[in-house]
Amino acid sequence: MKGMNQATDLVSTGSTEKRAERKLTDRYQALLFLAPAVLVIVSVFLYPVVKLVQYSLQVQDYGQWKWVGLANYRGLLNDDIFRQAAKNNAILLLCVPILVILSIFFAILLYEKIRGWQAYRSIVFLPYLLAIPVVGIVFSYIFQYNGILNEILRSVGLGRLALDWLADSKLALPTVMVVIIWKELGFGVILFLSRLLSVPEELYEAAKLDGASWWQTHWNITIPQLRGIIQFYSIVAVITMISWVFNYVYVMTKGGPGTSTMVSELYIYQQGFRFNLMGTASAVGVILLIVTSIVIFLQFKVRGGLDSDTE
Amino acid sequence: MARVVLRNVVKNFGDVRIVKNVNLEIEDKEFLVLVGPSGCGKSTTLRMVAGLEDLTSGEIIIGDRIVNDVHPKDRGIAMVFQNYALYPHMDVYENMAFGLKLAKMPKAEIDKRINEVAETLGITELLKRKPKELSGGQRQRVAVGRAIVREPDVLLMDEPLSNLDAKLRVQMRTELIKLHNRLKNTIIYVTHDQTEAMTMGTRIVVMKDGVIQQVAAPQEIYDKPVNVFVAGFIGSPTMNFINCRVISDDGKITLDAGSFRLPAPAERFTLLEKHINKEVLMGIRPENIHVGENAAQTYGDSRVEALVEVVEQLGSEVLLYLKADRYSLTVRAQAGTRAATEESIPVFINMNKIHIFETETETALF
Ligand SMILES: Nc1ncnc2c1ncn2[C@@H]1O[C@H](COP(=O)(O)OP(=O)(O)OP(=O)(O)O)[C@@H](O)[C@H]1O
Ligand SMILES: [Mg+2]
Repeated sequence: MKGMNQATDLVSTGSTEKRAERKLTDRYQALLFLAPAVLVIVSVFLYPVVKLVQYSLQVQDYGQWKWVGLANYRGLLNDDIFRQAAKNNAILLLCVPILVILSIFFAILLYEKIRGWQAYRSIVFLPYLLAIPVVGIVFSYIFQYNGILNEILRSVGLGRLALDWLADSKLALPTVMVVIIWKELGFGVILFLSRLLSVPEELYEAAKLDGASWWQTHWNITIPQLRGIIQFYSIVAVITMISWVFNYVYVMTKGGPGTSTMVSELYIYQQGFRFNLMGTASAVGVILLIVTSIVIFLQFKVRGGLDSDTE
Repeated sequence: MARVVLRNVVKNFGDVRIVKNVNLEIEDKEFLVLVGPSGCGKSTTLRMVAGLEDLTSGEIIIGDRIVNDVHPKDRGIAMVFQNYALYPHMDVYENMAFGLKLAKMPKAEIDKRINEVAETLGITELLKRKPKELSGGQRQRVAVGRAIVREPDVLLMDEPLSNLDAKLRVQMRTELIKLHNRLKNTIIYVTHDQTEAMTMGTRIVVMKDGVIQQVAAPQEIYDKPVNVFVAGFIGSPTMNFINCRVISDDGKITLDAGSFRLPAPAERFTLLEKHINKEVLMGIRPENIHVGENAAQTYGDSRVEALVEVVEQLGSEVLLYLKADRYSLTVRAQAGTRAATEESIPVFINMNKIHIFETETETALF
C-alpha cells in the first residue's frame, strides 16, 4: 500500500509541471489548427461585411462608384417606406413571445402525452420542414377573399368574419404573422420538448408530493428548467423576425397592399434590384447587421450572467 | 403519526403483474425496510404508498383512512428519492420551503421549521447553496431535510444511500437511525442492500418477484429464514447450500451429500423423519463452519475435507473460499487463521446451526 501511495504521489507531482508545459504547447497547437478555419471565416464573412459597409457609403453614378459619406443613411431616415419597413419588422417581433409561449405550451402537452408523442412530433414538426415559398403559396390560397378559410366561414354562417385577409392593409401584416408563427412553431416545440425529456422525472414527482398544481409545477419546475432554451429560441426568433421573413412577404403580399407588409429585407431587394440603388440597399444591410449583432451580443451578455441550473 | 396497511395490493404494468397481492401492516413509529433484488417491485410498492402509482387492486390505509384516492400531498407522507430530486434552480432553503409555501404556511413558521431541521441535519451553512454546489452526502442530507421539514407521519425512502460512496453510506446509515430515534415517525425504507436492511430495520420485508417472502425482525430473518431465497439473500457472505439425502441408520439420521456424510442433530429427528430417503437442501452460514484444532474437538463428527481456493484476509476475520466435492463453501474464520490455496483442509460444521429446506418448494423445515 505504501509503495503504491508513493507511486501515485510521484505521478501527480510530475504531472503538475508537465501539465503547465502541456497547456502552453496545447495553446500554440490549438492556434495552429485553428488558423485555416480562421482564414476561411475571415475571407468568407469579413470580406463581404467590409464590402457591404463600403458600398453603403457610396452611390453608383453611371457605373461609377462615388463616395457620399452617410448620405445613404440620411436618405433612409427620410424615406417613409423604409420607416414603414422598420416598423413592420418591429411589429413582427410580437411573434417572438407568442412563439415562445405556444412552443412551451405544446411541448408540455406533448410531454404529458408522451405515449403518442412520436406521431404528434412529426405533425408539429412538419410545417418546419416545408419550404417557405410552398407555405406562402398555400396560405395565399387559404387566405384569399374567395379562399378556403372564407369558404368555411361562410358555410358555417360566419360570413361576416370572411375578410380579405391579405388584401386589407390592416389585416395583411397580422395574417402574415399567423403564417410565420404556424411555420416557425414546430422548431420551438421540438426544441422545448427535447429539453423537457431530459428533465429528471423525479423532479415532477417531488413537486407532486409537495402539492404543486399543474400551473405551479410548470411555473416552478418546467420554466426554470427551460430557461436556457427559452433564451436561445427567443434570440433565434428575434433574428428571424428581423432578417429572415423575406420569403413569406415576397410570396404572399409583395409588401402590399401599399407598404403595409413591407419589411427591411424586401426593401433591400427593391432598392437594390428594382431601382438599382445598391448604396441604399447596402446601408439597410449594414443596419440589419448591426441590429442582429446587438441582439446576439446581448444574448451572450445575459447568458454569461446566468448560471445554468440544469444539473 | 400513523400506521400503514397494505391490503391485497396488486399492481400491473400493462399485462405484467409486478406486485402480487401484497399484505403488510406497518406499525406506527416503525422503521420498516423493504429489501429484495433489483426489479422485484420494491419501488413500485413504495410509490403506491406515496400515491405516485395507482393500485390495480387492493387498498392502502395510512392512519385510519383508505388513501387509494387521496392526493399524495394529503396522505401525510414525504419521500426521499434515490437521486434526491432536488429542484436544481432553487437553493437549499427554497427546496425545503417549496412544499410548505404551497401549503400556505406562514413565512415565520416556515422559517422556524427549516432552521430547526437544518440544525438537526447540520446543513445550516448550506441553506443558500444550490444543489449543484453540494457534495453527494450534503445533497442526501438536504433531500432528507426537505422530506422531514413537512413533518410527515410516514417517511418513504427509496434507496436513499445508494448514490453515496461506501464510507459515507455507513455514516449516513447511523445518522438515519439516530434521526428516526429522535423523530419517531413511521419509516418505510427501500433498499436492495441486505446490510442496510439488517442494520436499520426494526422489521424487514423480503420481496421477490412482487411477492413478500418473509416479514420479521432482522435477527429472526437471519436465524429463521422461511425459504431458500431469504436464506441466500440475507447475510453476507451468503449461506452455503449443500444437496443431501436424508438417511436413517441405527435410529440416527444422517445427511448424505455423496462424498461426505453429516449427522443430523438429535432434536431435529422428528422433523426429518418424514423426509427419509428424500433429497433436501441443507444450508449453513459461513460463521457456523469452523476450522482448526478446537473445532475438531467440538464438531469432530461433522468433518468435511475441502480444497482451499481463495483466502481473504479482512483483518478482523478471514474468509476462506473452499471446494468440497461439487459444493462451494465459504467459511468465516477467526483472524489469524492460516491457510494456503490449493491445500486440502478439514472443516467442521456446527450441525446445530443447519437449516433444512424442502427441495421442491424451497421452504424451510427448520
Ligand atoms: N412505469 C412502468 N412501466 C412498466 N414497467 C415498469 C414501470 N415501472 C417499473 N416497471 C417494472 O416493474 C418491475 C419492478 O420495478 P421496481 O422499480 O419496483 O423494482 P425495484 O424492486 O425497485 O428494483 P430496483 O432495486 O432496481 O430499484 C421492473 O421489472 C420494472 O421494469
Ligand atoms: Mg427501485
